[in-house]
Amino acid sequence: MGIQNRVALITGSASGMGRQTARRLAENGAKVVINDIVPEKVEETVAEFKADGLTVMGQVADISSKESVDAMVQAVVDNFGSLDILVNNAGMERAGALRKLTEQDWDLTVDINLKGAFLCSQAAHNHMVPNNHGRIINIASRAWLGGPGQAPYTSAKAGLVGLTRVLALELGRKGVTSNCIAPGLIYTPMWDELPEKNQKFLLSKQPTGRLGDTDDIANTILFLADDDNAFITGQVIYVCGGRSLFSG
Amino acid sequence: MEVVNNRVAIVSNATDEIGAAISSRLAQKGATVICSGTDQDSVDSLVARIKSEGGQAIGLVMDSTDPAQVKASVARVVADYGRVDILVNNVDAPNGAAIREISDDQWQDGININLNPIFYFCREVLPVMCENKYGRIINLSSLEYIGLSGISNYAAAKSAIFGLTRSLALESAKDDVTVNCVAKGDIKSAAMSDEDCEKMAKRIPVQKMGSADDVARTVGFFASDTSKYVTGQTFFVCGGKSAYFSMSI
Repeated sequence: MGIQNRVALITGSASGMGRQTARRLAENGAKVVINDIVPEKVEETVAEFKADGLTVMGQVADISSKESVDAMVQAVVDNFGSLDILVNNAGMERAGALRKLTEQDWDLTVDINLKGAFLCSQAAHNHMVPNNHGRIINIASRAWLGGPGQAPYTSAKAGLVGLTRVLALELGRKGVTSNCIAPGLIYTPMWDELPEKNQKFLLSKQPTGRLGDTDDIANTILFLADDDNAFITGQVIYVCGGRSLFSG
Repeated sequence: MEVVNNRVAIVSNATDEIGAAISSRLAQKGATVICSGTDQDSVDSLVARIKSEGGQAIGLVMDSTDPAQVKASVARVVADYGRVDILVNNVDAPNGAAIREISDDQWQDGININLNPIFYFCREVLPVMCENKYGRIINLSSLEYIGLSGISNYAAAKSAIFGLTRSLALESAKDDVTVNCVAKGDIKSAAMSDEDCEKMAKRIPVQKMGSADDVARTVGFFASDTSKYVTGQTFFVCGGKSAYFSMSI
């Protein structure tokens, strides 16, 4: 029951939603792996978690590189003994009108958001399947529904939805579940840097009238990662305060 | 783990297997559960069981297809507790048939039993929740709503819950109320033979049937204090079967 003693790798967990997720997983008994491409950020996060008595290790990796991902996953298994929960959280966005986007914008966005999730899932499942147990949670975005200027990001996140379904169907009989969270507007310090008029505009589209917080995502991940929830797989859940229902 | 301590929850049709699992779990997690059902003995027996497990439960014998009874029942709960925090609309009467076999009465019954109680309860409870600036409504549906051959009347009634859920979620979001739908897939029941279960399990990606507890845990997630930013969702507890269908995301 729960996630006690499970080993959880959260990509892009030195900041934002990933970091709060890692914290909540660790507080609920998991051994967590902090990952980012920047070593200093990983070190700082690991140090803070250790100071709080949490079981944690850091792993710097570029998730768009198979070599880097394979080395990361091997290090996790060597150190913690298994890999039970994978949260494909690392992501970034290159937005722009269709006429302005470059090939590099597309490639980079798809590499980090989608290829990274594929590579990590592939490496992780090699350790999950022999144990007949695994939880893969993909962090897509409400934006997979699409909006102007979001061709690379929406396409990559939509790809994550498809990947989620494939993993669920392919690994279902192997004890591995695969689900997807589509977060909407979640407060992180990046919000504070937005001009006030942008903030007002975004809030006006929120049925709740306010933003979510990183715990809204972390709690959903806790639910999907739970040992007991083996019958939940192939699902997409929007954590967006109703924004995905709204046409305005 | 869901947070529902001290919440007041109404569960309709609490005495069927899934309703009982939901009621029991909410009570074990600290909610006071008003267990409603049509049969006095079944209601009493469920309440006694929950109490023996250390939970708080009250029985309510009523017919949820009668709007007057729903109105009176909700009024009583509000009079006694001042609020309703959680409403679980657990209705399920699968009585589907091929189109040329569906009589007018059968069509009407499908809606009367599978859909109307949800409407009646929401109509009474949602305004109370909005006024109190807190609420969690969970409507139970079934994967069949996506549409399978030979059950168009049942699919129609169950799929109406999808739209109802989303509409009500939008109506109530600014008042910190969430409205979600949990659609069950193939859930093992006491009435099923092992042979039937084995056959059905083969057609599910996880190769096992689900349990009433799987549904109860998912209802618990949506009922939780902590699920405040999740609303209007239709979430399948189905072992991956929904991924075979279009319209499942």
